[in-house]
Amino acid sequence: MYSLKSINRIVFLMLLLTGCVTTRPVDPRITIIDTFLTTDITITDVSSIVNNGGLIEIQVTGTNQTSFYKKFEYKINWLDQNGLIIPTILSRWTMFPAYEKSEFRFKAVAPKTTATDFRILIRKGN
Amino acid sequence: MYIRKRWKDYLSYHYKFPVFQLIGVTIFLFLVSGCATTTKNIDMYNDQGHAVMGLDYRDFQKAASEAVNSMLLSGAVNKRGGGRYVLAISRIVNDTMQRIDTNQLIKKIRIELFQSGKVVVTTAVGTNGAEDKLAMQARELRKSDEFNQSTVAKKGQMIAPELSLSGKIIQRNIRVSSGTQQVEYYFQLTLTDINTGLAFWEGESVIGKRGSNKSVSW
Repeated sequence: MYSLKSINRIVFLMLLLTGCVTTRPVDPRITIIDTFLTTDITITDVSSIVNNGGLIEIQVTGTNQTSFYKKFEYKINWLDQNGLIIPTILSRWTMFPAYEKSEFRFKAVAPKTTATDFRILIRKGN
Repeated sequence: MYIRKRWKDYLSYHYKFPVFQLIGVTIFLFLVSGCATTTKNIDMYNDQGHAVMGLDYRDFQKAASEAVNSMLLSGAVNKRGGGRYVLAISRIVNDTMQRIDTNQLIKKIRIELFQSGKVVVTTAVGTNGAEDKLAMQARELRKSDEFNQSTVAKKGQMIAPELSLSGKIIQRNIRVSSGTQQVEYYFQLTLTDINTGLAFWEGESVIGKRGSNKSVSW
């Protein structure tokens, strides 16, 4: 049958693959710019609703998997139905804290009702 | 042989000092040009520059975007039945040690609220008179025979404000240690319903800075 060596190889390959899967953000609308951060944080949920005023509200939930308090920054680019970016002062690098081994959340609102989509960038804070 | 030696002596006598002087000047110029700070345009989208103890444009951007974000999230600018609120800008007090044009903050908020489609700002009403006095002055053309009266603004056309935005910027200086100080800035804003006098929304952004006592925050 299989030799011990080949089983070891398969196990090693599987470990590598699972490692790659867990570090990938859950939502394609989120980009973690600093690749080394993908081992530090995981994004577990991106929920969005349209509020009474017709504006999209979003909440991003993630986990700081490290044993250290970390500062991160996010920036949301809002897009209209044609995929064109909406210039707004709300699209700025905004700091958010992530406490060690804890969940973090941040919430934002679209600048106008014509915003139908968004892209979120996350990077290490200064 | 003798002539060569004489020539060498002649050169060393006449050119020794100027050559050394020239080298010295060159080194000095290199040093000076190395010390000079070159002017660069700030990358406003990703400014990694050090924080300053005073307020800079990043602080105003932060305060303005936090205020707008909070206002839009609260629903205070969602008019019942749709449409836009008419907003007047009231007094924004600068209670800091810095010379601040409060428009650095308010203009950003106005632009963003206007672009949100929720609010339109009146420039015909303000605490120190109209922001744009021409709206009233243009009405004096009613008396003039030189103007086609059908193009002159009619009576009863101006829209009165429904909301008023007022606020205050506060500074607190705290001595942390002999060499360190902490400066806190508070951006406080209130959105008042003019009809009832009730505050529909209130927001505060706090910016704190800690640094050397030698840095001035005014």
